[in-house]
Order: sequence, then structure tokens, then C-alpha cells
Amino acid sequence: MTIVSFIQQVTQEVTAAAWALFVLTWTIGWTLRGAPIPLRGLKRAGASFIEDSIWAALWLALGSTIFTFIVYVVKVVTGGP
Amino acid sequence: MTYLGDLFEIALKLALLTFYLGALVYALPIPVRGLKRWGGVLIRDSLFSFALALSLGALTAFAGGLARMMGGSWAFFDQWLTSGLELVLSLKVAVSAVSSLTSYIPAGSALKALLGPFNDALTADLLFLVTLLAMEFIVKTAGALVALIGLVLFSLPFRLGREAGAWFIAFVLVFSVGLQVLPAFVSSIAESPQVKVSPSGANWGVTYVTARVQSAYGTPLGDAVLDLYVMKNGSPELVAQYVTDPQGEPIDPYAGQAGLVSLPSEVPVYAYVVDDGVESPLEPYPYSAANFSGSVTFTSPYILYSDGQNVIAFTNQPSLVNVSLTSSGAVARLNLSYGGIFEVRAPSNCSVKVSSTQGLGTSSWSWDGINGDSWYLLGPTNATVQINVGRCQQVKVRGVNTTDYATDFFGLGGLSVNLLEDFIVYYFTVPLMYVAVLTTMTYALARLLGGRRGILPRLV
Repeated sequence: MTIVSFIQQVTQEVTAAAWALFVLTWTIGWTLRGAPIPLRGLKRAGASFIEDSIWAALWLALGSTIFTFIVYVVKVVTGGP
Repeated sequence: MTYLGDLFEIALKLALLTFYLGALVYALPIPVRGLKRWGGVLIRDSLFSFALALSLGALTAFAGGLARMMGGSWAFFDQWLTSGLELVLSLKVAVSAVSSLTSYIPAGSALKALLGPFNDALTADLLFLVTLLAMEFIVKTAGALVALIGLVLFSLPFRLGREAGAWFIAFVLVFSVGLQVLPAFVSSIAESPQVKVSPSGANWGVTYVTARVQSAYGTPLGDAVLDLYVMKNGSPELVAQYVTDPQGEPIDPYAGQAGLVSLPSEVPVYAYVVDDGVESPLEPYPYSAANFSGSVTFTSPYILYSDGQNVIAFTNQPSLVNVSLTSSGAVARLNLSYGGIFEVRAPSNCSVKVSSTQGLGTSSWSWDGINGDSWYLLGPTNATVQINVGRCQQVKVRGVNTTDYATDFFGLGGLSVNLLEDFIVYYFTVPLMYVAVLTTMTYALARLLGGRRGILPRLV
């Protein structure tokens, strides 16, 4: 296994973990917000989880799009395969 | 250069990994603010690494252009460094010789005590100049490798190698410009009556190229004079003059290699050749050193044939003359129109036979102490001319003084003046301060690129 393929594999695993964590955090967030426990701190933590998870999802989606675009542009410019 | 491509790919992949790690940290269901802050930091770092990776080529090209714009070149730096090393070594030899003689002269021990510190300074300077040579090697030969290793370090997640990477990249960028410009800087700051770079020359730059002068049909124009002009304020100025050898290669007495000549690097050069009193422009016309890689073949469109030793055939209507080379000379088929001329010139000590299907006019010529005969046809005419060159006694162009661009016009010759003051100013104090400034600039650029602290202590 070359260094490049190793890094690529780690990146794929990190991406998959990040998507899974997004779903988990989002679920925990809504669970906390929807929980019938009248504690303001708990509700705020739930909202913060949801916000963070949405940011993470946005970056994941945006990042994939941007990097794919950059790779495409580089290929067009350098004439690579 | 596959490993360079691999390093570049590794850097890009690491930047990508950093990005997704950032997103992962964002997604963690752990409400710790310190941890969450790493998410944004990692994403920003990865985007910056990406931008740096994509613009590294442009930055390197810009650095090269900047160095040329400031009147520097590697050839100029090499020349300066070689002169410096030669000077230091010759001074060291002289000091050693004087030291060994002190036992034979009165008050010799006092003299020896004086020479001691001076010898130490020479040793320090020698070490400094050799360090510059090593730096040149790193930046010039391994610059791309060092910059890419820097990029890989820069792209490592969690800022593990960010400072080191920024320093590597900054070092290559700053020193690739700085070292090339060093001689121009030293020459402009530390002015000395003996050491002067021509003001025009400083703008025009200097470079070394391998040159060859040939006729339109590829035969070498030997024993001819190559004149190089630069346009200054709308009028041509002769900046260099070389005599060619029988292979058509100009001889530069100051360059260490046959055919290697110095000429301006930043402005177009208009080249002319004079052979047997016949002057012709040379193509490429004009010649720009920046567009060619280290070697150039100057071709005369009007001189059609030469034997390399002053037997030449030329015309003012080259499109109407066709020449085929033979083992003993050439055969020219002419179809000259009005105003056209075809002429063969040979020194009188050459046994040359020129025959034609039409009657040839004859004349004689004299150029630079060489006398000769000529045979010509005037247009309109249709003829075949046969040129047979026999044995030639070699004649040498004598009355032409070689003007080496780098040494005589640009002023590098002055740099090798064997004076103590020059040595101290040109090869030690100012360059040392200059390198210290470059190191500080590297430090600053490394900080700009993202290193919070430099990995080397401040020198100034």
C-alpha cells in the first residue's frame, strides 16, 4: 500500500465516520430538545448539537463539491486523465 | 520526476484528510468548546493548504521573474561567487606564503602576528562563500523538492508540521530570488572605483549561452566577427564583440567553455556577423535570451555558404538562389532579378576555383588586414556557379578587440580586483548582512504563510 492510497483510505473512513457522527449528533440534539425535562441548559445543549451537526453536514457536502470541482479544474488545466 | 508528483499528490490528499477531520470534529456530539474550535481551524488550514499547493508553481515562476526583473540571474551569481572564491583562495595562498617567509625577514614575528587575524578572516569568508555555494545548490537543484516537502509538512493535520513546512517553502522562495540578486545588490550598495557595474548593464542583466554562427545552409561561419547590439534610447549600442572559431563558435576569453558567451538577459539583442567585410544580420532577429534555453544558433539569411575559414558566398536575394553543398565546396543555382547580386569571396592565400555558366565579374577586397579576391554575378541572370575550395592557409582576424559583455561592458571584470577593501566589502560584510536580511525575510514569509513561531531564532 502506498502512502497516497493509505491517506486516501483514511480519508474515506474519516468521511464515513463524519457522516455517521452527523446523524448521531443530530439525533441526540433533537432528542435533548424534545425531552420532557424542563432544564434550560439541556435544551440549549440540544440546540447546539443540532447546529453543529448541520454545520458539519454543510461542510461535508460543500467540501466534497469544492474539492471535486478543484480536481476537475486541475485536470482540465494540466490535461491529465 | 515522479517523486515530485507523488509529493504533490500526498500534500493534496493530506489537505483533504485535514478537511474531513475538521468536519468530523464539528460533528462530534461532545459539547467541549476547545475541541469544537479545532473543527474550524482544521477546515481553514486545509483550504489554505489547497490554495498554497495550487499556487506553488505560480509563486515559483513569479520568484524567477522577480529575480530577472531585479537584474539577477544564476549565471551572474555563479560568476560573482567564482570570482570571490578565486580571490579568497589567492589571498590565502599569498598570506601563507608571506607567513612562511617571516623567519627570513626582520621583525617577522610581528608581521606574522598581524597576518594571523587576517588569515582567520579569510578562512571565515571562505566558509561563508562555500555556504552560499551550498545554498545555491539546495535552492537551484533541489528547490522544487524542498518546497514540496515543505508543502507536505504544511498540509499535515492538526498543524503538526505547519511551521517547518512554511519555513521550507519560504526559504526556497526567498533565497531563489535573493541569491540571484545578491551580486547586483552588492555592486549597487558598495560602490568602489575599481568595481563598477555599467548602469545600462544593471538593467539589461547578464546571462551565458552557448552560441554558434552559421550560414543559411548550415555551414559554420568561422573566423568572422559576431557583433551584439542593444537598442538604447532608440539607437543601437554595441555591447559585445566576439571572434568565431572554424566551427562557428564565438570565443569568449573569460568564459570557461568553447562557444559560451555572455550577453544581456533582459533585453532583445540584435546580432550581426562580419566576414570578409560582408556584414549580415543574424536570425533570430532580435534574439531574446529569456525565450531560449541556454543555447542559440545564429543564422545569416544572406551568407549562403562558408567553408569555416573566410571563403564565403552571399547574395542580397536569398530566395532566388539555391545552394547545394558538395564535398569540395558548393553549387549555387541562381535566378537573380533586377538589383540582385551573388558574390563569392576568398582570401588570396586560398586556392579557390569559381566557375559559372555565365561570365563572372572579378574584383578584390580587403578587410581587417586580410586581402582577397571576389567573383560576382549581377541580376537579372540565370546561372549555375560552382565553388571548389582547395587548400587554405589559415588567416586570423587580428584587428578586432574582443569585447566580452559580462567582463568589459557589464563590469564583472572589476569584481576580481585583488584589493583588500574590495574583498571585505564585496565578499564578506555586505553579502553577510544581505544573507542575514534574507533570513529575516524568510522568517517573515514563513510567519505570513502560517507558522506562528519561526523554527530558527531571529538573526537580526
